[in-house]
Amino acid sequence: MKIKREPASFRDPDGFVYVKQGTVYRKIQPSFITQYRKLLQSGLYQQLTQQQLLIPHEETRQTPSGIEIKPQPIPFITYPYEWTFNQLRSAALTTLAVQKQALEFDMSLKDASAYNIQFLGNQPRFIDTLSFEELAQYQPWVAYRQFCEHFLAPLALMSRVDVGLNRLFIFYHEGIPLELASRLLPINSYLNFPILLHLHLHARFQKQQVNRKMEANKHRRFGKKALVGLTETLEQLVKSLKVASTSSHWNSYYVDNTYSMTEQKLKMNFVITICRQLKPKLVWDLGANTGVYSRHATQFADYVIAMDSDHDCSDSIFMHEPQTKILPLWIDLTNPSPALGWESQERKSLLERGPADLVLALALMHHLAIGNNITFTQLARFFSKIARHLLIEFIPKTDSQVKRLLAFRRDIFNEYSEEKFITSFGKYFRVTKKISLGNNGRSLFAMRRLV
Amino acid sequence: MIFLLSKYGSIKKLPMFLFCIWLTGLFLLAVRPALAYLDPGSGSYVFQLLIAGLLTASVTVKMYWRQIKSYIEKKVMRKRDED
Repeated sequence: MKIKREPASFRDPDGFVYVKQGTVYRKIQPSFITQYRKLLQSGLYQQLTQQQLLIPHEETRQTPSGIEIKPQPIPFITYPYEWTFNQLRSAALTTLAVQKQALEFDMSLKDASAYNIQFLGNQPRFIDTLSFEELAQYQPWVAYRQFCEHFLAPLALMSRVDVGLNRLFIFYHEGIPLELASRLLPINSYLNFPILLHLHLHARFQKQQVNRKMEANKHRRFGKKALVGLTETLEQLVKSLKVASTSSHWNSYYVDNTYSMTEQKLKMNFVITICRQLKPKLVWDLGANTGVYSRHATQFADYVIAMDSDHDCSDSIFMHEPQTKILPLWIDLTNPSPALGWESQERKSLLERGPADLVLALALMHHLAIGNNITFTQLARFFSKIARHLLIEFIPKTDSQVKRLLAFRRDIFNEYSEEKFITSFGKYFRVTKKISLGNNGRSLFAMRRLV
Repeated sequence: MIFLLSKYGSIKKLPMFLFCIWLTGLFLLAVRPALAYLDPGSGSYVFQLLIAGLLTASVTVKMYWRQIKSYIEKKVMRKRDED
């Protein structure tokens, strides 16, 4: 049977992830079986899965070459540079909660990578079953630096400098260097003792000539109490970090915009009708705003990815959405996440993670076409890559939202018309249904991809 | 840390105690960085060894603090019941 090894799974010699007939499995090498058994037999695995911190798995095969486990599937893989502040913060707290409980069972995390956390809706889960090892006596936490680079540095930068700095993960996909974080943080961060300790001082020690210091401090013991203290101080620091809401224009879009209640109802019913017909497994709601239509889609869809280029919109869905069927992401469609890592295969690009069964593009196209000068042909090609079915809204030039976009610029969009829109999309899609939204010229199109 | 706390004696003087810790932190920052860049993992390793005492003390203080708090709470409750 043909198996495909996950390109991202090569760093840990104790096991690897692979896909067999569309299902994800994890192989545990014989060298790690003792540690894996300890995780199970100690009761730690049961406790972590019961508390919904670690994804559960079932053992599917045991051979002399190792054990095969089938973890609970994750509907959509995401990366820290696509998360909002509170998503990254909750991922950090989950990692620390896992480490705290592991310590109670005399085990510890051997890595603390942000990529070990995935979201089921708004619920973070630790996904790496092979990250647990027996607690080494009197040894510091091997994953301390990684935790600081993957969580603490980006969170502090997002909180104290600019929320957009989580994008540094794209350049430093294995964690933001502490020296860089220390240099970027404002001077008043030195007054915060936990930041001073875990970021500024810690960063200084990355540059130190440590061999001599190592010799001098070899006798020192790092007891379990110190490990607990380390985890607790990190937890307190992460909890204390906040990001100021900018109360963005988009956050109040559905309160301030020009839609009448009737139009909104028409739109809502159309989304529900199409979702009822298609019963899509995966929906991408592009320009999801506060997730109004994502919520309607979940009535008949299994899982909705609500993407928006506005941080506060995505963050507000994450913080206030009780459902586990909606996963908000902070994504700029004009510059979607690229493929990253070794051979550009470790982290998949956004487009590689598609296509979705259904893509919702409501009140979005004019921003891409007029706000970003993207032609209908380019848009149609883009949507054909990511959507099997498409529900798209056309907004004419006479609409007040479009007029606002054109208010302070030259109108170079001679080809911006419904006719041209239908011709361009007709190359890739067949229109299955169309409705008009009142008298303002807005229309909704349901389309099916031709190939 | 416990020594310092007992020296300062009172919780009222806790800000001064925290100031001392912060000052120590700043002093440690003054260590001159070497030109050579070695394994960054070992820097974190040594750093943890150096702050081990502080981390252990934080857990101990917290533990004692919880005990003191519950002792005071019990006293207050008992007094209220008596009243």
